[in-house]
Amino acid sequence: MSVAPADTSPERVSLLASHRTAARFLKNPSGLISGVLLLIVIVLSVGAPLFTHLGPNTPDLSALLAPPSAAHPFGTSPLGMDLFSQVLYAGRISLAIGAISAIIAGVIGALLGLIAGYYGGVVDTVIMRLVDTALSVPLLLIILVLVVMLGSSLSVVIGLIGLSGWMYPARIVRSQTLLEKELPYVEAARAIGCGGLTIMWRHIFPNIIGSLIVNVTIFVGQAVLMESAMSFLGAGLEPPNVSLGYLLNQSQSYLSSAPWLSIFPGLFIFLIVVGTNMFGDALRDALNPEITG
Amino acid sequence: MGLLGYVIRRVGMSIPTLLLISILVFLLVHVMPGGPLAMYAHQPNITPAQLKVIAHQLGIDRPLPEQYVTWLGNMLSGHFGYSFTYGVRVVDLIGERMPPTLLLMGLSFVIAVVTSITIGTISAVYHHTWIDRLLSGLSYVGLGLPSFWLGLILIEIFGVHLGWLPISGMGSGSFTSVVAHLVMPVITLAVLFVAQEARYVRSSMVDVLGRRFIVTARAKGLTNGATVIRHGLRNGLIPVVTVLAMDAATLFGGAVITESIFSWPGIGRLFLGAVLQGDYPIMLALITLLSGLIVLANIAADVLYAVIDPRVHYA
Repeated sequence: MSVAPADTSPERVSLLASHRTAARFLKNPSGLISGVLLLIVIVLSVGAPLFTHLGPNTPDLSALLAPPSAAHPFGTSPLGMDLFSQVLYAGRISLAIGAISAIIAGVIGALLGLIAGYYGGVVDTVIMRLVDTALSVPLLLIILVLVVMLGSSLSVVIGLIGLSGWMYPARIVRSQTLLEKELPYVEAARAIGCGGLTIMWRHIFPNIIGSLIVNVTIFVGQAVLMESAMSFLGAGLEPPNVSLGYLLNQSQSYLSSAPWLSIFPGLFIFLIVVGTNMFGDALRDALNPEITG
Repeated sequence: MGLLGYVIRRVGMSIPTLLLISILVFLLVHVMPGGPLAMYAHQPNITPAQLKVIAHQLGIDRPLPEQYVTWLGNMLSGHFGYSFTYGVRVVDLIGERMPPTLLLMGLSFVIAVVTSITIGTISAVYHHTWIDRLLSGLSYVGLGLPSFWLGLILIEIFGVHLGWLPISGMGSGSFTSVVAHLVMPVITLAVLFVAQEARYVRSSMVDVLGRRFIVTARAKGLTNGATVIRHGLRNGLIPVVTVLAMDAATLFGGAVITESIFSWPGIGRLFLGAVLQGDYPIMLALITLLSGLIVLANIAADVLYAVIDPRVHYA
C-alpha cells in the first residue's frame, strides 16, 4: 500500500487557506446573516423580471396610490405603478452604481497604494499628500457641484462616486505593501530578476487583496447611500435611470397620505448598507483570525 | 517651547494640502460651463465685445498661473465675489447663514461624541455579552439608515402624527422655540456619526481594557468604574480623537441633507440652493471655506493628540 504524497503545491495551499477563511466566515453569525441578506437583495434586484410580471413603468389605473395589497405587495405610486417592481428595478440601478463605483475606487486606490508603498520616497510623499488633500475637502459638496456641471448621467454619477472613495483603499494597500515588501519572498523575487511591476502585481498584490476586498465591500454600501443622498437632494440620476434615492425623493409629498412610498425604498437601501457593512466586517474577522474585535 | 514648535510645524505641513485644495477649486471655476464669465454671459443684453471688455477687466485674458495667484489673494482676503441669484456679496450671505449651521453642527457633534463614547465604552466593558451584541447591532442600524430617510420618518411621527415638534425652520428666536426646532435636525445629523464613532471607541477600548495595566489597577483594589474611567478611557480615547476630528468633515455633507429636510436656514441649504441655481460664486466660496475648516480641525486634532498623550514627542 502506498500513501499518496501530501499535495503541497501553492495552489493547493491557497485553496486550503481560502476554505478555512470561508469556514470562519460562515461560523460567524453576522457573516452568515449578512451573506443571506445580501444574497436576497441581489437576487431580487438582478432577477427583477422573475419576481414581478409588472414593469416598473406600467400603470395600474384601477389602483392609484393604493396601499400594500396582494396584487401590489408594496402598494402603488400616484400614477399607479407597482412599487414592488419599481423598488426591485431601482435596486438594480443602485446596486450597479454601488458595485461599479466601488471597483473604480478600489482599482485607483490599489494602484496608488502599491506604487506609494513599494517605491516610497518622493513618490510616496506626493501620493499621500494627494490622499490628505482629498480627505480634507467636503466631498458630497464637490460631487454636487460637478454633477451640475457635467450633467447627471449614469456614467458621471458612477465616476464621481468612484473617484470619491479611493483614499481609504490607497492608505490600506500602502500600509500593507510597506509590511510585505520587507518579507523574504519579495527579496527572493528580486533576486531571480523580477521587475518592480511584476513584484507588485504578481507577488505583493495577491497577499494584500483581502483587506482591499473588505474595504471595497463596505464602500459598495456607502456608494449606494451617497447616490441616494444625491438623488434625494435633486442632483442625482433622473428617469429613465430610477434609483432608490429617486424613489425616496418622489415620496416626500406623500409622507402622510402614502407612507409606503418612503418606507419600502428606504428599507431596501437600509438592507443593502447594513448587509455590506456586516459582510465586510465579518470578512475582515475571517481573514485575520488573530484579531477578535 | 516643544508644543509651540510642534504647532508651527504642523501648520506648515498643512500648507501643501491647502495649496492643492485651492488649485482644485480654481480649476473647478475654469472647467465650469462658460468659465468665470458665465455670470455675465447669463445676462440678455450683453454683446461679445462687452464680454471681452469684462474679461479684460477681470483679468481673465491673462495667463492661468497669474490668474491663480490673483484669485488666491482674493480668497485669502475674503473677496468671494457676488452671488448670481441674490446679487449681494457672497461673504455677507455666508456670514448670515453660518451661525445656524455652527449651532446645529456644534450641538450635534457634542451630543454625538458624548453618546458614542458612552455606547462604545459600555460595549467594550461588556465585551462579548448580549449588551455588547445589542449595541453593536444598533450601530449597524445607525450606519444603514439613510439620514434623509430617518429625517422624513421623524417628521412623519413626531411632527405630523403626534404633533410634538416643529418640522421646519429655526423658530421664533426664543430659547425654547429654537431648542424645539433643533431636536429633530440634531438627531438626524448625529445618528450616523454616533454609529460610526461608537465602533471606533469600542474597538479602541476593547484593546486597552485587555492590557496589563488594567489588570494591575484592578489588582490594587480599584473599583471597576474607576478602572474603566481613569485608566481605560484616558488611554482608549487617544486614538479616537484623531478619528473624531477627521470625521467631523462628513458632518458638512450631512448638514446639506439635514438642513434641506428641515428647512434650517444655514450654509447647507444656501449651498444646495446655489447648486440647483448654478450660483458658482457661492458654491466655490463655501467649498474653499469648508476645506479650510476641515484642515484646521485636523491640525487641532493632532495638537490635541500631542497634548493628551504625554508619550508623544513633538517630532
